[in-house]
Amino acid sequence: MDWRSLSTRVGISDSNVPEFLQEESLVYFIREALRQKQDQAFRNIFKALHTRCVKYVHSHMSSFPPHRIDDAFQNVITYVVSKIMDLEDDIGDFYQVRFWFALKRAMLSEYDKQIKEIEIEENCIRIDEQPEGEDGDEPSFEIADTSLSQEDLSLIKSGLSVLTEPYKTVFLLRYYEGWPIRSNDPTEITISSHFNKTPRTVQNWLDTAKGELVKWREGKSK
Amino acid sequence: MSSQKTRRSLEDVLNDYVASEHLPNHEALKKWILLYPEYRKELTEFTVNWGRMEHLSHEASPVEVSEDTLVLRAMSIVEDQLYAFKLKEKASATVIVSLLEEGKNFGLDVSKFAAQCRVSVPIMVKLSRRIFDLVSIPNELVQSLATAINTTSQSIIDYLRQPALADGMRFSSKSKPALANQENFFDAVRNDQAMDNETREYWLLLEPKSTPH
Repeated sequence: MDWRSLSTRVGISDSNVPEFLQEESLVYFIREALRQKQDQAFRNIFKALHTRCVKYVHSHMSSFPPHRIDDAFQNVITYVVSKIMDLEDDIGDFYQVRFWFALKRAMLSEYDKQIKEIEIEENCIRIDEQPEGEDGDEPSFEIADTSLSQEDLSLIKSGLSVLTEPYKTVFLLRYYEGWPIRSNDPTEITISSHFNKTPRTVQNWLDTAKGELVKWREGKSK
Repeated sequence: MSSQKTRRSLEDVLNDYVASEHLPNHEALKKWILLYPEYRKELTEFTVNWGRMEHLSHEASPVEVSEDTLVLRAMSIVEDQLYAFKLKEKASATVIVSLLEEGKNFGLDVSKFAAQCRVSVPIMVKLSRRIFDLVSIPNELVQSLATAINTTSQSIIDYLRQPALADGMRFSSKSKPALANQENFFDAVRNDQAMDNETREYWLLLEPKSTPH
């Protein structure tokens, strides 16, 4: 294997160029360089791999507070590097076959871990302090919410950061992932059942979230 | 033990879930809860966090960090792990003084050792003398050598990486032994008169045609 020419080739980032190497190939060569003690090639290829994925990892952790973004980024990269460098572990081979999927799983595990730590820190996010809906008759069926178009959702996505919890997650589940607030089927997962709150409370949270986002949009357009 | 089994199974389910669904959504969650009702709670929590990660992150970064900085941080992690890897390797390394001598310790004379690794005696001797360019030696052969003398592939690679040995020719030969330049393993196979055709074909099939994509 000509490690010198390979080190040049891994720098090609345009996937339309015939010499372009997929991320899975980079992982294969990183492991091969490690086996053969080709330290410089090992570093060059790892650098090329990182150049392709660090932004992706970092941006997916960016909804956390700054110190947590750094921790989460560091933890994901440490985990991935250790798995790729473990020449005896099957997980290392997995990165060689489905790099992006394996990376996403590592990111999701870390994201989940960070969320749990935050919840412990904030004592399970004091939902009880949020405004509850008043008691009264619940609507007997879900009213379709057509007030936000796809274009609206796309425009306000960057404004979601102004929302606090639980408004942010409730809004996301309702409008970006299509969760119903309530359901006549008691076995179906709904926003109401997930948060263990009445549909009216959930509706209040959504109204609050919308109000905040409207303010954000108006402030932006000024 | 049983909780470990449950955890593994959940891990497999989540792996399949992420592999099957491009992005989290309620319809997909319903489908997966129907498939794995025992993981209803875990799948729900996982879906909520997955959605947060996919939708809340990209536009919200409070601190802009350049790609160069992130690559530097990542490479610093690589350096730390490389250092740890080498320390661990050094601690566990088996030092082989001579491949043929090591074979004898396992009751393998040069013929038996060669036969077990599917090479001829001359090639076995060349391996022991480190005549071959390491990069030309197929992984399959490195693994066979390691298995035969019950060591790690890494120990074999460490042995083969050292400079070629000038002495140690202990088999009968009409020609005078001479220290050769490093030789390509596959060229040696092609020119080896002692190797049968079937074995030759086996090795030549492993010869790389060009740099893989």
